[in-house]
Amino acid sequence: MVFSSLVFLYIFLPLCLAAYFISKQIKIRNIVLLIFSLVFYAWGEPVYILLMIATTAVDFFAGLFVEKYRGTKKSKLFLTLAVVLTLSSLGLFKYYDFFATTTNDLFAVHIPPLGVALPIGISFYTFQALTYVVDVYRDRVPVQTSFYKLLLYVSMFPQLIAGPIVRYSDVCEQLEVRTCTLQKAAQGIVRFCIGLLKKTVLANFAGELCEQLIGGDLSALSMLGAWVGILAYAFQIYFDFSGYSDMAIGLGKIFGFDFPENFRYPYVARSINDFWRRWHITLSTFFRDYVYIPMGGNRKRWAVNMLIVWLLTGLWHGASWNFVLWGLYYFVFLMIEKLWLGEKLDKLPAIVGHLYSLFVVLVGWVFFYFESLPEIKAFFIAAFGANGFSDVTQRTVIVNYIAILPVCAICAMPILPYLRKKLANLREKKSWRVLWSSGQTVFAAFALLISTAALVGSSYNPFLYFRF
Amino acid sequence: MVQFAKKIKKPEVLVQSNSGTPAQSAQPAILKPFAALMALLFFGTLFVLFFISIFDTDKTVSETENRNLATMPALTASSLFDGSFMTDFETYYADTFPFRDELMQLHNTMSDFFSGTRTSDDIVLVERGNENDFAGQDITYDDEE
Repeated sequence: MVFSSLVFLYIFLPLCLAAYFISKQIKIRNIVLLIFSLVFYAWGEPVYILLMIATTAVDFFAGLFVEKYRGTKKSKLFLTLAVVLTLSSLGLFKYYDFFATTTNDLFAVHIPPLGVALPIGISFYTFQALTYVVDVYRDRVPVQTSFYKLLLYVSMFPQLIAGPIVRYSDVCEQLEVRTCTLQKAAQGIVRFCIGLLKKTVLANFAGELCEQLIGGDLSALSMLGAWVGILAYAFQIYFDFSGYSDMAIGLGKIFGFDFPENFRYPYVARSINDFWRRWHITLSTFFRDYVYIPMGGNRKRWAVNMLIVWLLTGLWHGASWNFVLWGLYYFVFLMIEKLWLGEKLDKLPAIVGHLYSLFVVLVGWVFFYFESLPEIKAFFIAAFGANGFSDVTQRTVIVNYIAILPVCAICAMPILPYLRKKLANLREKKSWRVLWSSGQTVFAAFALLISTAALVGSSYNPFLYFRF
Repeated sequence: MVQFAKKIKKPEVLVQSNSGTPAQSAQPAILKPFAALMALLFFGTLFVLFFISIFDTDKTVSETENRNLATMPALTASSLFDGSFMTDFETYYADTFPFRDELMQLHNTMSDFFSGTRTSDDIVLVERGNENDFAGQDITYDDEE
């Protein structure tokens, strides 16, 4: 199930909320949340839910053994076993076919591909399960002795299928004690509505524009069409993905959880390094703490470690060569910034950094959007003007959709934090707080209405994470 | 294994919270009456539409789109395990959603603003005399005397 569906909003969610708030006991609330989470997952993956439960079981028992044999070699053995088993399910379902076809092409052998669909959310929940067992080994979190609580952590529906990648250490205390207040619920509702609106309106309309410009034949693509198309894609993926994170964080708040932030207005970054501190934060911090630092970080073989991390980051987004290229592309820019450009950017006016980052990120999305090398090549040929600057049909499409671009651009800027900061200075003034509170109430009602209409009326409601 | 699990004492470890920043820490509080109103509106809308959608299932035809609406899919073991029940149910639910025509209207207005074109592309061609004719009623055609 996805959040942006009528069945989720008007059947699943009311039932779940009613069942959850009937009891004040945390144990019953945990069980309610677990049952609903399993239903949520089974709705989309009626068979692969067993895989998720099995993955959790592996890490649960491994955690127990790691704790039991703490300080001995066996502890490390069980950790290794858990990591290998957990990653092998990811490897089998996500990467097996990719490596099979690649090997077949390279060595003229014939390894049969599995041809199975990727279980939804597998890239997210396997990483979450890993943070548990690794952190138990590192003695950073207490071992979990009840299976259902660990399963609740792994399967919790707000963050199950599209992030943020919540670490066990982020929520392990909240699994035992958490408070649900009216204040938190109201803030959660606003956050959820922001996300819903981003996904159902901004992302979907930007997606339509992108699809009409660069989704078809690239041989007639004009320069204008190419750049507007990839800009629209940049908006689509940002509002889709960050909207999902907003909905997750908002729902979490309603149920009393505090999830980590995942996006901080990435398109206003002043450098690529800055961009990656703002884009999909929980993924880059995961790679930092569970791959980069264990390999030695910047103390030994720094460049090699960086290369590995960015190859993996690319591959995480999909088992295909274009994602490897995408990861390498960012590796190159991060290295350039670290060795040379970074200091220079700091001295130049901010606008230079903004424009540079936007351009690099925009070009980066080309490697993300097109999955084959010939398409990427055709796009760049068009983007640098080989098929002419403009074309009448593409111009018509752009004019038709022209309103979405400025709206997206404004919404991608940190206007809310700016207002909030302004307001914090006026905290004592009652009238401002009334305005702020009523504004949010009106916004939430409006957003729910518009999003529902968009869901009812729209036949175009794609889910981008089938590859993750 | 449960016994074994119980034997392990939970060590008291200071939990290090280390990923990202906590969600919106400096958020000014929403004044209580507004928070209550918001919760009432949001949860109220979910529940009211839930109840209407569950009990009001008479509609089978969309007059504005001139087509039969999707029907409730049959629940069988195979349709459940291959996921087709869920997909069909979502289509059925969207088709029979309360205030569908009004919400469609709102969506079209919004579509006009953002895309300049109407996206109601659900035109269904039917053959004459087909049982899927308008509203399932018999229609006499002018040239059919």
